[in-house]
Amino acid sequence: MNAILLSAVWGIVMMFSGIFTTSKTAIRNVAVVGLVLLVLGNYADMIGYHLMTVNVHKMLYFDTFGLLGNLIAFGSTLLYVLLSGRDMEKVGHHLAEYFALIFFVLCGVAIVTTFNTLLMLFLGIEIISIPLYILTGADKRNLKSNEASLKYFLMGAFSTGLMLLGIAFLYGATQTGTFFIDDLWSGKTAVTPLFMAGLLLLLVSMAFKVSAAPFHFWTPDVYDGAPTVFTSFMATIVKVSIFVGFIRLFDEAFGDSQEKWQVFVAIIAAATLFIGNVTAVFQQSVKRMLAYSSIAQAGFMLLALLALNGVAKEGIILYAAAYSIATIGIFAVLIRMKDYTFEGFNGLARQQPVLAATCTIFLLSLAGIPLTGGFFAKYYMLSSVVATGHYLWLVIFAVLCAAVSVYYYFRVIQAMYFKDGDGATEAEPGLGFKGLLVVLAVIVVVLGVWPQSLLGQLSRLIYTW
Amino acid sequence: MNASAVVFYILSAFILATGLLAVTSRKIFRTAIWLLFSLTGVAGLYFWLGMQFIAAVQVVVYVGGIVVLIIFSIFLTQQSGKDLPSPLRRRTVFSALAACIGFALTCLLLSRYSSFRVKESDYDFAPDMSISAIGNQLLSTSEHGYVLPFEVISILLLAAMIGCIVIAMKSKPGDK
Repeated sequence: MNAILLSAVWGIVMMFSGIFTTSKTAIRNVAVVGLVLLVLGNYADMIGYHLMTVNVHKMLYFDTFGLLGNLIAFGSTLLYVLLSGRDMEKVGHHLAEYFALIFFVLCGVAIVTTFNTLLMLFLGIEIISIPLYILTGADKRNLKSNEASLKYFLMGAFSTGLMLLGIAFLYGATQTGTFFIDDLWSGKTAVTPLFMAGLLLLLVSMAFKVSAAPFHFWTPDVYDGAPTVFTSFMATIVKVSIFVGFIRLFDEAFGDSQEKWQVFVAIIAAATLFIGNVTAVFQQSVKRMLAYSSIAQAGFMLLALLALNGVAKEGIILYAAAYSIATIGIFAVLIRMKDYTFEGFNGLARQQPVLAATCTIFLLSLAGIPLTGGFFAKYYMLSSVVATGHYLWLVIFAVLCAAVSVYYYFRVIQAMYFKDGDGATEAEPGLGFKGLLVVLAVIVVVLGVWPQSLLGQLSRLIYTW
Repeated sequence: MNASAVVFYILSAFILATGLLAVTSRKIFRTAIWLLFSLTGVAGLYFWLGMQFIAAVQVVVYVGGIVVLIIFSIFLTQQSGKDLPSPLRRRTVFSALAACIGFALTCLLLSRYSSFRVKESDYDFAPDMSISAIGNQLLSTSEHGYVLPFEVISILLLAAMIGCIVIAMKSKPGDK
């Protein structure tokens, strides 16, 4: 509850900060203070200290899984604002409002990771989505940004409609008429067509939100058209938080009827892995490649949804951390580049050795090379599916897709180190920026060498229920 | 036939007649206005049933919101003064087919459930449908109160409003 309260209040504080000061540094500092408070507040929630006691009547349920998901989202946002906050100023004039919208998104994130009724899930998803439509179109002079925003809005409205229809079906399928996700299955032994229709509609609409194939068509255009700073936010923090909610929904509400829908998730995961990885190979722009790579990574995260066991829950938390931090780092470097194509990275290692080295670590992590966080993240995903005893073909397929992904990630590394060019950044990056990138790289490596630093805490809390 | 039944038939005839005019009118703007009347008639039907809240929502959302949205989009996209081109033959056939299937489905449902009667004893268990009861529950902090979603919706609306302003506000000339 701390996180929801703090993020909502800080969204309003950010709005007013735009009135009282015009200094962009001051506004950014207010946002940083807010994010630090959010991280602390959420941690306080985990250790059992609450700002105020609110009786939520089981509409929200604060378990460790959700709160840890929050912690990763807020921590990544803090790193993201520290790294890229300066670039947000270049997008447009409403810096304070952009930060306010980001805080509202975080409020939605805190609801989506801890919801216990379909009503709150729907509201959380909407609170995440609506500010994102606006952030996508924040660069008002850029036609591509406008187009992306409109496209995202229309497609998002469509998927919202599907989600509402699914919720209505599920409401009708329960005997008592309830939105509580624990009660949806209670008293049932067989899946009725109405229940199945509701479940599939929810699956489709959530798959749309995490950009899983075949509902991914909006992703490349929106991620490409949106201002790069906000693409970074959407592709990482928002995506992994919705995944936490996605897994929560299917675990709590439909966990008992798992074998009925598992095959659909398997098909979606396979399609996502295939389309994401294969299409990424053909991209010329690094930004667009990263959009497809985010689809491919969503395919891996869907494996956790398929398995839904303890390993999967641990794995998705690790995956969320490793993927978010690495992608935020790459985007932070990409924003500083003059040229977003692969050629633009030519010879970056000679010009900016720190940027190139940290970028290499992030890319290695995304590709899943050992000693980086991405390796263990992928390992957990695969072993969770192996633990179910079925779908071995999907595991093999996922490994093959990961091998394909090495090609396009290494293309950037190759351009940075082995090709000649000027690899120009827009301005000389400051010392703080470089230092933060190194910190991010260190986190990625620590997660890869010693994943228990994060997971130990989680498993201790999950298994002591 | 008592007075209640007379009111029902008048309302139904009104809804059907304006609905028919809405789909047959050749001017798209008039279509929107006929739709407005038809939706108002449906609201009247809800009032006739004694469901004040649903009737009010029907007026606020459909009559006040959706039809106004439709009219705005007509103004933005269509030449509202001109006649629409006559529809294709094939499309007419399929629309007629769809209408017939819809009519058949309604008849089927009516024939199956027309014997369904609400028993007097059911009324004792029926929840209080009055607007004040709904309002109390919406803002109640007790067991079945919905004050938490209510507050969350206010965050949603605030975010949407800020977004509208960010999108619509003109940047000062000379700024990037």
